[in-house]
Amino acid sequence: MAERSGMVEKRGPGLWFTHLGLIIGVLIIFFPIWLAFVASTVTQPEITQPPMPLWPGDRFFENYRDALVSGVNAPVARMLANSLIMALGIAIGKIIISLLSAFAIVYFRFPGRRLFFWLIFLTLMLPVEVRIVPTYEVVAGFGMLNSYSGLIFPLIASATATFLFRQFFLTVPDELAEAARVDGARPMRFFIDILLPMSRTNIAALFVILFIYGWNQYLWPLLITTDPSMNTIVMGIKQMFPSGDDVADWPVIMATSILAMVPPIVVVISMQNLFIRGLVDSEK
Amino acid sequence: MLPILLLLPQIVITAVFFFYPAGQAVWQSLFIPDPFGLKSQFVGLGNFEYLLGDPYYRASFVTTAIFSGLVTLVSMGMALYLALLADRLIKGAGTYRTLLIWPYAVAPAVAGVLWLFMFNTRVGVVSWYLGLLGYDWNHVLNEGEAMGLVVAASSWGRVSYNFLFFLAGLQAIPRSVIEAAAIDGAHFWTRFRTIVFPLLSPTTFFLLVVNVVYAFFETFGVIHTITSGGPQQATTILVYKVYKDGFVGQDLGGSAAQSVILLFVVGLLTIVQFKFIERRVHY
Amino acid sequence: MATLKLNNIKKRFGSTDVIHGVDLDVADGEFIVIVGPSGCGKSTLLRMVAGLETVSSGEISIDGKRVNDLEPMDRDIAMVFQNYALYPHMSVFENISYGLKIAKTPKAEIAERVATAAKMLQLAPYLDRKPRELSGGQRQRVAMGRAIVRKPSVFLFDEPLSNLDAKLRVQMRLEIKALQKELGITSLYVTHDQVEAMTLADRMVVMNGGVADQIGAPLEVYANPATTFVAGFIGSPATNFLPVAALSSPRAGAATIGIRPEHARLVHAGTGQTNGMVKFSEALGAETLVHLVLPAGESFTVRQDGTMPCPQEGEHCGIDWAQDSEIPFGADSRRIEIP
Repeated sequence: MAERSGMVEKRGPGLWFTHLGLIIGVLIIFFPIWLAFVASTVTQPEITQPPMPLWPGDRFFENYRDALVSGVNAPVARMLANSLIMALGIAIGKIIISLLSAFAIVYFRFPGRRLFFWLIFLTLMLPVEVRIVPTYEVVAGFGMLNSYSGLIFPLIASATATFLFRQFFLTVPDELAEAARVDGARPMRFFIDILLPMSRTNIAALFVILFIYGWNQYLWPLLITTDPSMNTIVMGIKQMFPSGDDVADWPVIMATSILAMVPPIVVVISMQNLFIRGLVDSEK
Repeated sequence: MLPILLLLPQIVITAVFFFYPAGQAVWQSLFIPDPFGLKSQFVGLGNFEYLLGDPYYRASFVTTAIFSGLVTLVSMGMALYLALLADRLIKGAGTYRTLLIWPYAVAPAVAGVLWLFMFNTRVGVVSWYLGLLGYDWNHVLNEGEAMGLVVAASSWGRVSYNFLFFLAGLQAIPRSVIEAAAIDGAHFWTRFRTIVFPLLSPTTFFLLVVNVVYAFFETFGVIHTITSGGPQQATTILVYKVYKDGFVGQDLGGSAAQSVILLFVVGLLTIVQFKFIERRVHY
Repeated sequence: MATLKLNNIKKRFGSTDVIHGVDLDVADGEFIVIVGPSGCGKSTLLRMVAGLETVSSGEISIDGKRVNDLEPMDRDIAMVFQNYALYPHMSVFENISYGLKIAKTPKAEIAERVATAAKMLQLAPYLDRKPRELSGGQRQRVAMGRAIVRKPSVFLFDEPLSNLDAKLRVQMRLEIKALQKELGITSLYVTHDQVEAMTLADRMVVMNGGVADQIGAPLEVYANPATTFVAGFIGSPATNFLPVAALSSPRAGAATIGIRPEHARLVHAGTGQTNGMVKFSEALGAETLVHLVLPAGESFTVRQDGTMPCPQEGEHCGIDWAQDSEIPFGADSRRIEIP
């Protein structure tokens, strides 16, 4: 992006006020994360006798070790692994089935093609939250409660990604497919040799978005993972709060919260440009 | 043959985990199961009639409207403010973007835990300092405070998302237009009101729709972690009620009917969004 | 090396006929250019030969073998596309060799064939680059290279130069012609640019509304256009048309006559075949184009030497030409032979 300013350029004090306003905004946005981090590095009494400190303590390793190794109901390391499998399963699974079906819709003429396209349209905005009870029954009927497939499949059952890949494939010039045909490439060869490599950035951007989507799921894992060893980290945090009047183990809970945030934040920050492009494209 | 083969995985997964359950929801909404779950009785639109007459359900509608209105307003207002500031910078807008993008990656449920921690009635830092100022914060008992807290926690992560879109929208406005207005003598506020905001309206409208959708469906984690719908029903939004009646209360027919009503709401929002996108193409 | 034969080729899209039966015999090594305005069906015709469009009726044969139902790759053809259709993620080498790789050609042979083609097209230094790192002319050459390495029986070109700037177009035109002569491969070339058609073709096919109006050597077509369409389309500036009724003496059997701009000259008002008023003149240096409007409202262009005096706007002039330079057309727009 070229260096520019949308509103007319500010100089002197105006510039400082602009920075000040942004810094205040950043501080407000950051404060909850900071506080969680501080809480994950201090002892339980330091938190339960308010006010808690606002600067990190020296219990970082102990708290994180406690969380990862033993946790409250299940070791957090286990929950991280579950989340990772679920997020990767959703991202990769959805990308694969969407690529295949978008390829079919854009590059083939076959009976029922329009019908299929409209069915895809229907699934575009219907979140799993709306159909939880019957979906739960289906998954339970297949015996997929407390399983990775139960966590993954219902969440890839929508065609948002198919729609995006369709939009992208439509921008690929027809001549390219024709050139490949003249070169002797059969449809699948064209798909693998030409279309997939050309979709690299779209695939990567979608991967980031889907990974975060999968990682951050809450309601669905809450319903179908009754076994603590199948809990994902995002839903497991709430399970760490004691019922009744017992005092929560705040340092471990906050360490877990930080651990739950790190992977998606790393993904977003490290692939920032790709992600922003994917986001802005996917919502258009 | 090949295209059908390519479509097969998607067809099977969507049919089994999407269309069948959605159809089931519609079907179940017409029945009331007996208490032993052995038989169910056809009641037609009875479940819907009951729901629409149910004061709790109607209250949940109002709660949802207030909640999504506030989330949309707070998160978009804050995001627009920050985007306007960042857009004024010649250098450093990218840095602020990187700093502000973080909360997007934080799950709503985790955001709920973070905010719960800050406002916890026993150990929360913010509630403690409020206490020093003589304000007795207690979202466990006070309905208004509970709503305020879930709105704040839900809006927080959303600011990043809206900021990205507003900044992109602002940066897409040709600089010459704004310079021309500045030469015409328009001051910041006038320029914003008469030029920037109208040119930003496609982005604003788009964000309005997606934020409402977000507040409707994706904030379950926030509500569940912070208030569990309480106190009383003060923060029971529609999606939370589907979960509570269906899984906690085991009222399958009623929960299914609620799902169907939500289906219509989503459908409506989808239509609004696509109409809008169609229009935007012609801009 | 092969012959190509089109026998009464027709194309229908739904209920619309777009090609109404084209016959063409292409000799081995011949360079045929199909020229016509957009929408005349020339690209569709080429794509049917390539196998990218189905043939509604008629027969296409390459080297005497019917190819109607063969996939493009089985027709032994190679095609150069208008937008080059280079694979953006592949290097020049990979682009050129992709077809050979699919055909499971041995690696050593691929390397050798690509090297030969690259040398011929001066692409050798760029083999590792991606298409986006190349200039328009270089991309064009890569597209050519991709066609050449296949050693096909027939080359198909679909407006290959239309995306280049004017100067490069002239240069590439010469290169294509030289290359085709050197390789001696039968070629079918589609363009809307009549200059390209004139300069490249051994024979050209002038298409109009799905019909081949005329097939012949360029100069033959220029001198003896078969229809008013051909007369108007080939040659720039276009042929002037006059209804015979506007002339002082009748022409036997003709409804319209065509006069090439270079065959007319300006004379004193009242002394030529007809009169006109000068609308404007374009002095191009070597020649001057004088645009006139005739009393009945038709436009008329005279091409004269750049050294001739240039008339003023609004000036009335006579226009004269030798009667044997007239091209007479009947009421059906077809050329008639005057005995």
